[in-house]
Amino acid sequence: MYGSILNYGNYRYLKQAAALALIALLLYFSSLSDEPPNGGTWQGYTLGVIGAALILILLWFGIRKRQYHCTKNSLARWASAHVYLGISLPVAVTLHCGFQFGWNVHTLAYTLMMLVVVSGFYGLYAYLVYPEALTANRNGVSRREMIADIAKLNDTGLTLAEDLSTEAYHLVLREVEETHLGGTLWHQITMNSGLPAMPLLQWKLAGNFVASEQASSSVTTLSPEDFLRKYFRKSESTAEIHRVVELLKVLNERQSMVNRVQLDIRYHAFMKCWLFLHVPLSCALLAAVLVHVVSVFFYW
Amino acid sequence: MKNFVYRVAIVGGGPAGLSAAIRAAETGLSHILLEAESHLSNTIHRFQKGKYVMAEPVRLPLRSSLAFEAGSRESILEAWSSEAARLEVNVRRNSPVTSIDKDAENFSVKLADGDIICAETVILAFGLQGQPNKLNIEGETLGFVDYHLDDPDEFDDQAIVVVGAGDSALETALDLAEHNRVILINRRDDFYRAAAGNRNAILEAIADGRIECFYNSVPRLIEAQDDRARLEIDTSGEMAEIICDKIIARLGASHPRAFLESCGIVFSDEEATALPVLDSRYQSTVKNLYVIGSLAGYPLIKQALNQGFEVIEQIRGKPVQPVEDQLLLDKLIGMPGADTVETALIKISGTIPLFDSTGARPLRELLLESLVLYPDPGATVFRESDYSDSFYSILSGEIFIHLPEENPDLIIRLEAGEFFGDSELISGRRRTVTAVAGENCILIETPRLAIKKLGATHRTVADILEKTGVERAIRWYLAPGLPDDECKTLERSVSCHCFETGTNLFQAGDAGNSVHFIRSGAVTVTRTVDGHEVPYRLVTAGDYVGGWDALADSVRRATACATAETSTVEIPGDDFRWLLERHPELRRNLHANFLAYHADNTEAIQQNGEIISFLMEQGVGEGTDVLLIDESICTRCDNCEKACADTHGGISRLNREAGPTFASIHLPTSCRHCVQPHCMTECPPNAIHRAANGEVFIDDTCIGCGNCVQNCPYDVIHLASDQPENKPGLWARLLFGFDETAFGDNGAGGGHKKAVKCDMCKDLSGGPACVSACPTGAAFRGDPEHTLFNTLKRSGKQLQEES
Repeated sequence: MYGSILNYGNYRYLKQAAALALIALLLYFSSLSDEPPNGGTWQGYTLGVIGAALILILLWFGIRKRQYHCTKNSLARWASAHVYLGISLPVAVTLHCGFQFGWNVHTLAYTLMMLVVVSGFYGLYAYLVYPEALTANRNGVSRREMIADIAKLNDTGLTLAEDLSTEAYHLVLREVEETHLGGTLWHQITMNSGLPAMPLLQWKLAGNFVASEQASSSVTTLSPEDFLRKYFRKSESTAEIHRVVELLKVLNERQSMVNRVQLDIRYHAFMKCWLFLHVPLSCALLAAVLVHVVSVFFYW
Repeated sequence: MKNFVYRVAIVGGGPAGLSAAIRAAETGLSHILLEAESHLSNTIHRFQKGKYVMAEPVRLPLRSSLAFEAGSRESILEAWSSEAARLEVNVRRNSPVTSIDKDAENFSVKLADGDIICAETVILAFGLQGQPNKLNIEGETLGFVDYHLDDPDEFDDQAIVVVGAGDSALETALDLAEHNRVILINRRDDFYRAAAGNRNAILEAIADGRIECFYNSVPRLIEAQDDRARLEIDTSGEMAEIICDKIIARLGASHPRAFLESCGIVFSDEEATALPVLDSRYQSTVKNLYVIGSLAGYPLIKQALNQGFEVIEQIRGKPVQPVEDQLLLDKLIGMPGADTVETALIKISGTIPLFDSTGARPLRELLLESLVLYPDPGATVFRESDYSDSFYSILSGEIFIHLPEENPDLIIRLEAGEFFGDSELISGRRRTVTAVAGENCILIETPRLAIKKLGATHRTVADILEKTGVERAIRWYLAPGLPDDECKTLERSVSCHCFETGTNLFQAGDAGNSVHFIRSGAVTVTRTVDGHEVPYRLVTAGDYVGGWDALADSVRRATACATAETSTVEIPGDDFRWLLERHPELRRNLHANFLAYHADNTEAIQQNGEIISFLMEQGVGEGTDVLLIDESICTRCDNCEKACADTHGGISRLNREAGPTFASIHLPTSCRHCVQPHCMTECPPNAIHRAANGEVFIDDTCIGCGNCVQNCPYDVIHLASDQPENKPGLWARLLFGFDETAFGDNGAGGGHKKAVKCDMCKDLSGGPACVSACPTGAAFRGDPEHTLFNTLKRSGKQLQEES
């Protein structure tokens, strides 16, 4: 209703983050005259302190998110600040290191930070895009209702198939039994439950009635009705054709519902998966930054 | 042979009757306890297995000889029956009473089996369950017929016939259908007697084939056939037979009132909610015939136990002061001329006409709930826009009512005997005036529910409140400052109306020659834009609709529909126009309103119209504070639920996922803090209150009866353990992980179940945790009347600009 986390308080934190980046740039350019810019100049130290402070503020978001009794500043405000300050962090830190990289713990900390920021960018993208996609896919129906619909269609499909033939019944039963929703994160994201879905069933149903070479070319392009009218040869009875068409309709409907649920699961997974990188990497970053700071002071 | 005459016959073996019988046995009073069922305490017996029975109200001391403290159903039943056995209480089980007659001296209590019991006094304590209506067909006594269902799990894979079409019949059928073949027999061809939820569930079950139903059918005969029952039914004139294992008849129960009246007992009035007229010792209008327990209007076990004891003491000629006397005296201390409770009651009912006709018992109950206040001169009792909902009666001194800001000079003086705070009692909304105490002021502050209950049981109280309400609608709100005689003229020409939810006050195209002043409820005003009904205004109590049409004396341009149960005062157009001439500011107000709503961009209105229609259909109109989630930015992180659980002992009162969605506006299952909360209506310990900012909350005295859960049309209350498991601290959770939503989900802690609901985080300074814990700002709360409409309007304009 009040827009997204990006425009909180009339882009208040965008402005603050931009100001911070500008200060960082000024500090960097002011250090150009002496030795090559690095973390050891006073500008470098200042930028380092800014970077470390930013990291602590950004990490505190994880704590604040769970302080449910604290209602002083809304979490939306914190989230908006988290996003913009998180974007300004690589600016400050890159200028802090003066583009000096190597195979050491300092660059490790830098790399971890960049990974956290990149995963954060993905998270931002996911939070901006998928809620709407998910809402559209749901179309006012809850996942529980969709799954209940699938169960109902399973029953209807099985009843129709039972009337048709034993083979048809077993085909539908197998389809029902082998439909898996969700699963591992990989399965959730790929929407692949590792099992054949509707097209194969159509193949098999078709194979039961028609010569396979004929079917192979046309089964995917023709509508179920046309397909059956053309190739139905086991029985000429209109009633039976009608039943097969009815069954295919139910199975199609069922398949589209299964797809909707899988899409729903996928969108949820898209919105969650990045946190499995973002959060542990943040913790690793904190550790690396500590080592970086301690070692710098140790060799000073 | 002349029958033995007992000193006392007690009808009903529940808490009240048993307490009386135990006291009688203990003191050697000759007595008989008549119980209709085969066991004592039938109501408690029929509680769900293991149910925890609470001992509210805590402040009321227990005076009975029968021990009672909160505990499981089983422990209480066990303790009571062993106590009855120990004292050799003279119980006669399976003895429903069919009539009670009184001759010159004694009562003759006639039993169903034809026996007659004679007694000098009779105590009626059989509760409100009533006698279930019977099938009255041949074969009823073969053992296949039951009139209630204790435990649906007792039946498995059986064929069961359920007779009836009311709520209890449908619930029984639905419960049994899970594991049994159920055949429903309905005398009519619809289920309109049942609640909508049950009706829809049963129709769905019939459509799915889970339940078979015979419409227009009545049972005729039951026969035994190979250990099963053969039931013959008449279905639309044809005979059919059903072979089944059990027949459960849920045909309603006869209301006890008819029986009480047949004994000669007088009720306070004709209303269905009326109570028998009793003196302060529970004696009815028939001498030596006492009524106690829920039959007398006291639903709590402890009250019933005390009354049983007190009545026996009264009969023994050793009357004790009612147990609440000390509580009342503590309240009334300092009141001039109130040395005893009796004199205080006489003074109160003598001074305040509203309480004059109620009788001693109800007044005692009212005062138990009330407070006596002695405000200093000039002290504010309540301020305009406060959300308090007490009702005040003036015992002495004076009160000055300051009308809303537009009329700063108008102050109304109220004297001893008058009352105020009544319009909020009806509207359920914020205070519309400010009340300031004058000299020597003594007030009785009564909670909203107590006064509502009094109104529901006493017609005269309701009438006085209604009449005063209409007068004040005119004198305080519509035409303040109007001379007395003109007010009286106006009062004669207005009429009062009540509108059920969903009915129209008026429709576009009707002749528009009247104005409706809304006293309670809410009305949506819709216009037709491009063939669509588009709501654009929600009008709530204290405001009026139809003013512009009445002023122009034209046809209605809009339709006004009640979105909650609404009561209005209708003012005829001529009188309204006359009123406008006398009150230029009223006319200015009307113009401003017209411009504000009609100058609005039509397209923006249309875009939001559908969302607003959706919200109104969901009953948002009767809410005062509604949680909505904008799903287009909600990341489904469930932080709102986690925050709710964390701030409420581990049990979330909010279900984000559940609830309907329209476009991207989602209405999660969370309390809307209704104007007239449905949950409050039947709370035995009066544990549900409205806090100063409008939050409806349940306090610790909840007994877990589940009435509010059933009464809430929005499914936002549930029963959960009051002692949740210990939750690990934040750092433990961060380090070791913890599934917060699973925590306390089913209230599986060791405590007793109590009702829980959203209290809008009234004890947190920063407002509701669900909203402040939303990382994307998708969750927001607001009152439908202002915030929601404005927010939606704003977003509609944004949408338009974007497109």
